Amino acid sequence: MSRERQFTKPGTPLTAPVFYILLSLSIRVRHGYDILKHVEESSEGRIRLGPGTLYTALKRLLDAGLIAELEPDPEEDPRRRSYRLTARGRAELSGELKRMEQAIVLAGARRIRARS
Amino acid sequence: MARWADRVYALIVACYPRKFRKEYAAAMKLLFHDMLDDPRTPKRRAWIAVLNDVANLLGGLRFGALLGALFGALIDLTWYVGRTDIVPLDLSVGLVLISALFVAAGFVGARRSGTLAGGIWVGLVAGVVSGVTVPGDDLMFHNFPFYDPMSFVFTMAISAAVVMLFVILGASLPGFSRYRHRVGRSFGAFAGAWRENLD
Repeated sequence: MSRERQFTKPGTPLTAPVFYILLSLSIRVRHGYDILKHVEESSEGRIRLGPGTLYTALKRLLDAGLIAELEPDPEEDPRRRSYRLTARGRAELSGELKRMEQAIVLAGARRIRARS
Repeated sequence: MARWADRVYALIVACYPRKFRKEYAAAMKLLFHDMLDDPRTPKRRAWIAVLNDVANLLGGLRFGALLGALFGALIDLTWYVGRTDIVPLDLSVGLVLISALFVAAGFVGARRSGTLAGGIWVGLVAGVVSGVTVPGDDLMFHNFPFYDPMSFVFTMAISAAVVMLFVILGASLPGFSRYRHRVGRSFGAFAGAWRENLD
């Protein structure tokens, strides 16, 4: 499956970095480094993005209309770019969370538990 | 003054496609700077993240290599068809076809990657794969077309240089549209001056 099709085909699971990026932007508007730190913290250090990977993912999300870029703050460094989640992005995130919930219910029904 | 780490990272950023770089290079450099300046994050973690980025970039190179191998195989096929007379092919037609394939390899590589280097990489791999034609000629047709090792080295070096010129030409074509207007204006001015001189 091409990367472009990931967001246009309903029901397709999101990749882990994309999921955590959308999750971090669902809380509030963030700039690149803020997103990076939040992704690392919320994934408990399992996902550590580099600048290239982060901005490649942000570009794809922008192109797909899941996030939007805010006008630069005149008091901030002009190189610092901030992003927010769009309604489409929120719907995509909700869909992913629903898929996860269904997976947990299914695993519970089959008595499969996560190892602690 | 920029730190050495920022300079090294700027070199890595220069390897990204031009279009992407134009949009995000400044933001990426600032983000890397922020990573290094954050006292909560060990510096080595920032470098590991950058190495991960480089690995992703190399993934693109791998696809370029496959593309180059495909063009190389097409060139090998053209050579084989020409040598066996399956299709009666004049030598000059065969050479033009092979040259066009090298131009195409450079063009496709540059278009896909958005960089001149991406086009050259695809052409380079195509050149290496098409080098099979030399031992192939010897194995299949018992014709090693060189008198001695020196003539072999010189001929291969000259062939590689000529082939890479075709590849660079192809890889430059996608960027040509950006300079088309400038070239058109220069040509117009030259033609105007030429006409004035004739009058």
